[in-house]
Amino acid sequence: MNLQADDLRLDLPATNKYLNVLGACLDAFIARIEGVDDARIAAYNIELAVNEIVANIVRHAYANTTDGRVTMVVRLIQEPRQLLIELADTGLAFDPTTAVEPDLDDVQIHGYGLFLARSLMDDVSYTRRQNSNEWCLIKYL
Amino acid sequence: MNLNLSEHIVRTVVVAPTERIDAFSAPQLRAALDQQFASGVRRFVLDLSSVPFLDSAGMAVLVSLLKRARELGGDVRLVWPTEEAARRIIKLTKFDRVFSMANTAEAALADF
Repeated sequence: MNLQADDLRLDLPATNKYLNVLGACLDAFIARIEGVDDARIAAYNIELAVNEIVANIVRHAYANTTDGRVTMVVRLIQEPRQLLIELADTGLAFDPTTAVEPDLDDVQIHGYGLFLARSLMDDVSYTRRQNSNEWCLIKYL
Repeated sequence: MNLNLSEHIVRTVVVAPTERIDAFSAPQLRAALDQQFASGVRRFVLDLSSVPFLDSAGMAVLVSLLKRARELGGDVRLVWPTEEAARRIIKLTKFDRVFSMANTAEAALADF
């Protein structure tokens, strides 16, 4: 993604240790957007969705390495107002066939991550580039 | 009158995390619960009222706890998170239908 003037860009080691940093960053970014309905809930949901994608990147894309990195770009777009979040890594490709929707009537230990991200955002898309993965998350505000 | 009296005390542990539970901290919670299992505890109240954030890794710990406790003849009660967004996630994933939920730890204890 080509950066624009007001974009926020974070470049982090791909480790769960810094999930809270992503969350704090998103919270702070959203707190400065005026007139967001249920801002606290919106911020929580966006943070959770991003948290789930990044945790998946750490666990799966970088399953074979400990020195991967994740970049996050946050952009506020107007008309209609939406928050666009792009997450990128250079790890293994994501295989959509491995992401099975959880059966909510039969509680299970795993499988809620991508479900939560998709449920809480208005759009979640994945693109495999030549040597990288890109996740694009959109939330209308 | 001759009476045979026996007293049975079932331990219940209230676990009340006060920090976010995510993929980084969830293993620590799991280890703490493992320790309780090892000491013989089978009934748990997991008080989420002071947990500001709960992700799917944390939810996996909750499900593991429930399955393991029930396998061993125990059970788990959850106390609702105070954070409204977290409460909605509990409902979205239908965890409130799988776990017995309570508004306070005291109410959860009384539910056993």
